[in-house]
Amino acid sequence: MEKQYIVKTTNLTKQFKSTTAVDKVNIQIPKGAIYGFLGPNGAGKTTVIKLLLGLIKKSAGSVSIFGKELKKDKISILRQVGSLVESPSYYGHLSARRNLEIMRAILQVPKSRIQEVLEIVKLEENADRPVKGYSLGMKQRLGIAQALLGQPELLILDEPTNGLDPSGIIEMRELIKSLPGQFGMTVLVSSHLLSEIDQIATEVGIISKGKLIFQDNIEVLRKQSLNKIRIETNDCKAAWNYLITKGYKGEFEENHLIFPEVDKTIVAAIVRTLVESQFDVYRVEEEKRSLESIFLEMTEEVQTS
Amino acid sequence: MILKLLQGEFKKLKVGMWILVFLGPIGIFALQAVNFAVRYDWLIAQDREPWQMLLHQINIFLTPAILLGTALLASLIAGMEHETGAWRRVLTLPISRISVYFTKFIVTGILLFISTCLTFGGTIIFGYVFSWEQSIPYGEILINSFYPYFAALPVLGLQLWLSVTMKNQGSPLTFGITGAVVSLYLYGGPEWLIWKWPYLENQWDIPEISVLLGVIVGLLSLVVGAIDFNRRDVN
Repeated sequence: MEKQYIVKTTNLTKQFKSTTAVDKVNIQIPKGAIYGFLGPNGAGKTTVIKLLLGLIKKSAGSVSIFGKELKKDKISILRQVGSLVESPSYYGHLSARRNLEIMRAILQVPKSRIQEVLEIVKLEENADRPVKGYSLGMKQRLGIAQALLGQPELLILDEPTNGLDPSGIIEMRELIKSLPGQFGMTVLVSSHLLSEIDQIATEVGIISKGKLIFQDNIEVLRKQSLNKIRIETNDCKAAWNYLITKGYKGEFEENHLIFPEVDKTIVAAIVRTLVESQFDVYRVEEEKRSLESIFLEMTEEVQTS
Repeated sequence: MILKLLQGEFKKLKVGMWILVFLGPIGIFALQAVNFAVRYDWLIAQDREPWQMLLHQINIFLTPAILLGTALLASLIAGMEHETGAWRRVLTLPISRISVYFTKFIVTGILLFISTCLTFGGTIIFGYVFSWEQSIPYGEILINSFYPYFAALPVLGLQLWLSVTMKNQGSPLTFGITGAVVSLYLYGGPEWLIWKWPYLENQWDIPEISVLLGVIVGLLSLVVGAIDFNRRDVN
């Protein structure tokens, strides 16, 4: 049986005049996941999010949310979706409470929900003064409160840590992480920072130049970041050939040998073999590949191709 | 649902918009006061009854005032949503875009209607002060106050559409203000110019035609604007 996805897009495409901002994107978000939507600035993250919310019209493909077609059931889908797109939207001359009250009347949730979301984002103390006097971080938190107001099943947050200070970022991270467990929500979080996604997401989608270039469980991405062992000797070419005859297949690069991360006993065996065969071993080092560099590699590949 | 939306819209209104609603009629009567102070003897010497003369004088000011008020209110009501990208918030709520657009039209319409009611009351008070012998022609005052409102609905539809679809309010405001100024010279102009309809002056000499045209074209402009708004991308 096919897996049930909360969000599923099929060849979603958006064309702006001559440029293709979103190109045949197939996003699949399982229930209860925190889907990290990653990509450099201008890659098309916000455009995809706007397509998911029906703010802009797709050029081709389809969007299905909660198993319903967005085109047909837009209003009933939106009832279950909370969102924060780009910068927070608010009426500056009104207080946070008034802003939330205007939304609440339309979402038809109990009045008490306003106090609840204000408490969740820690905005109770400032809830009664005009929003225009808020700091960027407070406005951002109001945006989150608005997104949570309707007790959505799906929460879509576009760069939610924008403008937050370090402690605010940590709080936001903890809040997002708690949502699936506490309220059964599924969350889509976009960011251009891999480190941020790495800390909260269970699933990752990477978009670059409008194309989804990677999508899987975050563990799959982490596996790619396994470290390598780099060995430098006096005659690498000969050492490389010799090691192959001994059954240790590495990669030969200009003046060093590279082995995928192997067991430390094997590293020791390789070194012993080299030394016993009169090779001078200058250094044995571990080459760390961060998720960050993988992300860069992936997005660069698209850019150069 | 439209009712809920309307309540929300009224909660959003800024003080400035309410001031505008009152400022319009106040402006008209302030100008009338100057008009009457400067040339009362000449005005009263016209071969019209004093009340009819007053209504005519008010009507001349009323048309540009309504057109100006329409442009400003439509721009303020739409601008409020453009300012912080609040369209994104409003249009991701579980409501249809058509009803959002209709609500904007209705709110602007209601605000203008309040101005119109104030004009009606103001006219009676203004004329009453002179204690002319002629009895107060309530029917004609009603016509003079409310007919132009309905005849101006197409301009409301047009200005609202411009203000909603353009992020920068400079163009719709320029367009609206130009319309109001040009209307001053449109008395007796071609019938198809919607900016002259509030004068209630037309080649058939039947003010009801201006009103009927206003309501029909006004509703048409509302529907067309809403359909276009429904198809647009929101950034």
